[in-house]
Amino acid sequence: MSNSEPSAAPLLDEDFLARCAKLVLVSRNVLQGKVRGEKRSKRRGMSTEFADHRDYIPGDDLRHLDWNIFGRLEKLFIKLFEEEEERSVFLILDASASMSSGEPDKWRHARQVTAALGAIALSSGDRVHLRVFDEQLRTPVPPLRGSRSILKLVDVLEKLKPESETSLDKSLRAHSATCPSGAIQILISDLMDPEGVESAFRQIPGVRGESWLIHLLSQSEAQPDLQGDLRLVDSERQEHVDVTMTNSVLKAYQSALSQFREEIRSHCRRYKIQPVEVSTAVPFDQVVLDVLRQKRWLS
Amino acid sequence: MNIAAPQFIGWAILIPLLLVMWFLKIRRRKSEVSSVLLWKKALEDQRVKSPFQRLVKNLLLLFQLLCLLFLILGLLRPESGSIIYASRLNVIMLDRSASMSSLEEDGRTRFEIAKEKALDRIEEVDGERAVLISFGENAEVLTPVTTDGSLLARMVNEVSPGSGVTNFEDALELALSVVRQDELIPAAGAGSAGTDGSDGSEELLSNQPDARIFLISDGVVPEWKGDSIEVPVIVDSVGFSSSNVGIIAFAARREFTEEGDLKVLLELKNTGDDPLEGVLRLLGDGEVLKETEPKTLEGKESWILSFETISGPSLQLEARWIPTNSDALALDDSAWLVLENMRKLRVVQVGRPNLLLENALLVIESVELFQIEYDEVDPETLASEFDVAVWDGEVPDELPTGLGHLIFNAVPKQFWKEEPPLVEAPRLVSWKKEDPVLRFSSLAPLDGRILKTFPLPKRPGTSGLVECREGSIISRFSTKNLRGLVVSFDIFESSWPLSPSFPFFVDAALRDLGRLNNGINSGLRSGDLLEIEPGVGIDRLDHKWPSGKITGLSLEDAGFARLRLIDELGVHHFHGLSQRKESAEDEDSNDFQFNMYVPLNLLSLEESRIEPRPDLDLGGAEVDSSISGWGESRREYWRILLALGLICLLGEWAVFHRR
Repeated sequence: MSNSEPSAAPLLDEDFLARCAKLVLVSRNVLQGKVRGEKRSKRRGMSTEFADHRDYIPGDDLRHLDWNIFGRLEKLFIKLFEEEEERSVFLILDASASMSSGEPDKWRHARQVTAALGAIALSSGDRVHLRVFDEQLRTPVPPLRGSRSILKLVDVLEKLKPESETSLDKSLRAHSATCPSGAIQILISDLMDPEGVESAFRQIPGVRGESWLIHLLSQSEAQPDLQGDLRLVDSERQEHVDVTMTNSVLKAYQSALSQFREEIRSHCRRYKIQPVEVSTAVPFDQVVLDVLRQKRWLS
Repeated sequence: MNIAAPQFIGWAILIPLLLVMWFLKIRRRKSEVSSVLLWKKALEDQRVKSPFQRLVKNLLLLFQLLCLLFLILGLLRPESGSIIYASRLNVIMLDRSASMSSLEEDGRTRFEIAKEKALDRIEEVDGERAVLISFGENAEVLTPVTTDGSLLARMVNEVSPGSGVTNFEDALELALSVVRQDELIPAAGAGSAGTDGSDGSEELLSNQPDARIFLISDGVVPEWKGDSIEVPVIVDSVGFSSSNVGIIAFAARREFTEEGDLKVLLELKNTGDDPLEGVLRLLGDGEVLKETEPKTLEGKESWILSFETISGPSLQLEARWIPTNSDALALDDSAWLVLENMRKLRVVQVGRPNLLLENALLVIESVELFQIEYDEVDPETLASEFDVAVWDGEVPDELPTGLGHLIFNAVPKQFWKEEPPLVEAPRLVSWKKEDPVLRFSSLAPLDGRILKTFPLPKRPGTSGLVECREGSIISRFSTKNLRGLVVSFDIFESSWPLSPSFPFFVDAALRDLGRLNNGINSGLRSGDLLEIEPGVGIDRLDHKWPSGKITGLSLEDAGFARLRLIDELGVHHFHGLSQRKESAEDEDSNDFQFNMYVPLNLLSLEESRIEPRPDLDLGGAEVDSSISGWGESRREYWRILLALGLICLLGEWAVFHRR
């Protein structure tokens, strides 16, 4: 699967999904979910692996009474087991108009990465929340669970259209209000917000769980190949700048881009967010299978 | 630095206009980007770093601005120095006389060397004012006073060598007049005289002590006898060759002898120091009539040659010196004469029969006599049919033009309107013995022996040839197109017809009035004035040059032309047809054709003497070496600016096509 495939093709193919089934999102913190899942939780619960005893409280399930201790000590103890809870993975996808521009297609690339991460999460039993935003958080998609939801997730992504301006702060503020602590939040965006990213990043601090950032830029944004006298039109705000492309202008752009990326990294360090800079020049499967594994986001 | 044309400063408005147009004209291609966020920041950073970076980087605009700037500066014509105050006048005199055609050892003519020297001088005086004068048989100012070296050089290259003698006096007078006239240039900024009460003459420049005359010549110029020359004359002598034999005299006359009908006189001179050998050949219409044995002329030796020959029907006679080894100047190796047909003089005797007069006319061999009655005279055709009209006792009030008139016993009213009083037996007071008409006539038989006469007073256009106290008894009248003699008495009332002097007088009068010569046209020298009067009905002539080229020559209203033959030695042929001929029924008639052959010769000892005379001293003022440096002389920069503008235009073009 490569970037040259047509935009009408499915975001993920079966081979890739098969490879994703063997992967799992790696979080440094133990998660706490409301539904029992496949990941160990701090909470004790219903599983086959013993964890501890506690005093019986009326109303407890007598099936977990430890009869052996009762026989020796004649005290009622309830066996506690490691409860395997499900994790919540929030895929926060930027669907502003800026994601639709650039070569190779940044929007498709973003959706493919999102779909791949979602598929991995669903395959490993995590609950996946797809949050889409532009100038605000769009209507939430119901949480998805289980491998069977992968196709639904892909279907939802394929139907999305990028539009409107970007408002990271407003959107992430709305997201954080409904995001439980301990969840994995993965933000996929080009971060082209004229209001900046700092206040937005403040909404998704890594200290509450895992916060990952996939900073996606198209090849034409990372290495613009422009010549002559141009009027550059902003895809979101209908602003424009007139520029005569010269080597010095291109150098100045590269300088501004480096500065922008450094600011992003700085804010990420501050808010414990793990960033990955991705270019659309790198095929998305290579991003998922190589880059993210190298970053130990996947195993 | 001065600005010669400040009025063009207004064109500077084009510079901001170009900038405005430049910014307006840019057609920017639209390109959508995800966000202009980074681009804004990049451009802002760049502007902060270098506000002029855009301009510098935009080579197209830069080249266009520079091109425009240079062109406007060129229009302003910046110059340094001053044409009036700081630039001296250089008069370059270029000799184009016949001697300048002499060949030098390097194969070039003196004139080619002189032109090269003239070009060197022009280059030397670059930035100063100069004027070019060429001179030969006449002098001519070829350029105005200018600092334009290219104009001077162009004119030098256009001058061709002449074939005439050196009229150095006229040339130097012309050069000095240019220098003196230059003094009258008003000083810069001088107002009109008298506006502030000051004397206008004070505003004129003082004498031009810094003017110079460059004389580029082979030194074959006569000694200067004019006033002292107040400016330095710097002589550039050209030419070292001296080996030359030239024909310096060529004449002939019809003389019937046993050996021929033509007696020829020639003089040749070896003007050099070395002996030269050659033969002299006489050609008639290209055919050899006579050729001498080889003759060696020692240095400075003259060879006067006289011989008889048979010219036959030849028209053109050419004497040609053919050196065994070529000499330096070929122009003086040939000379030409034209032998004209000796036709009879056509004389018409008008009036009553006059036996004495008729006898006198008939004894003249060269006269063809016609007689008509006074009433039969057609004044319009008289000139085309006869050379001289002899009037006896009666004369029309308006004499026909185009022929001579010999009038006996009548008064032409055009000159003497009132009837003069009769005088009996007048005593002669004087007569003009040197006049061609009276040269061979004794007028003693007339003294007191005329019974009665009516002496004519002097009137405008008339002169007395034979005078008594009361007036002239033989008078001459002459205007532009009328000529004649009046004998103011009846020859029957005198004994003159019985005297031998009478037929001599009639013969001389007819020759004078009929303008018949001895049939030898010895021609002109280069620069001489030639008058042609072809006769009634011809208003245009074809001029066939010795080289074969043909040019047209229009006659003046009075039916004659004046011109100076200055180039191409040889025989010039003038031919014309009358309008009557063109429409005449008889096409074979020659009556209305006009042919005139004019030989043009050098025949100048001065021009044939080509030996170098480097010590030519005209006595001009001393050259002031202290003013040899003329850094303040005027220089114009518009050419440089124009060139820079064009270079910028080329740069702009190259950048445009590389984009």
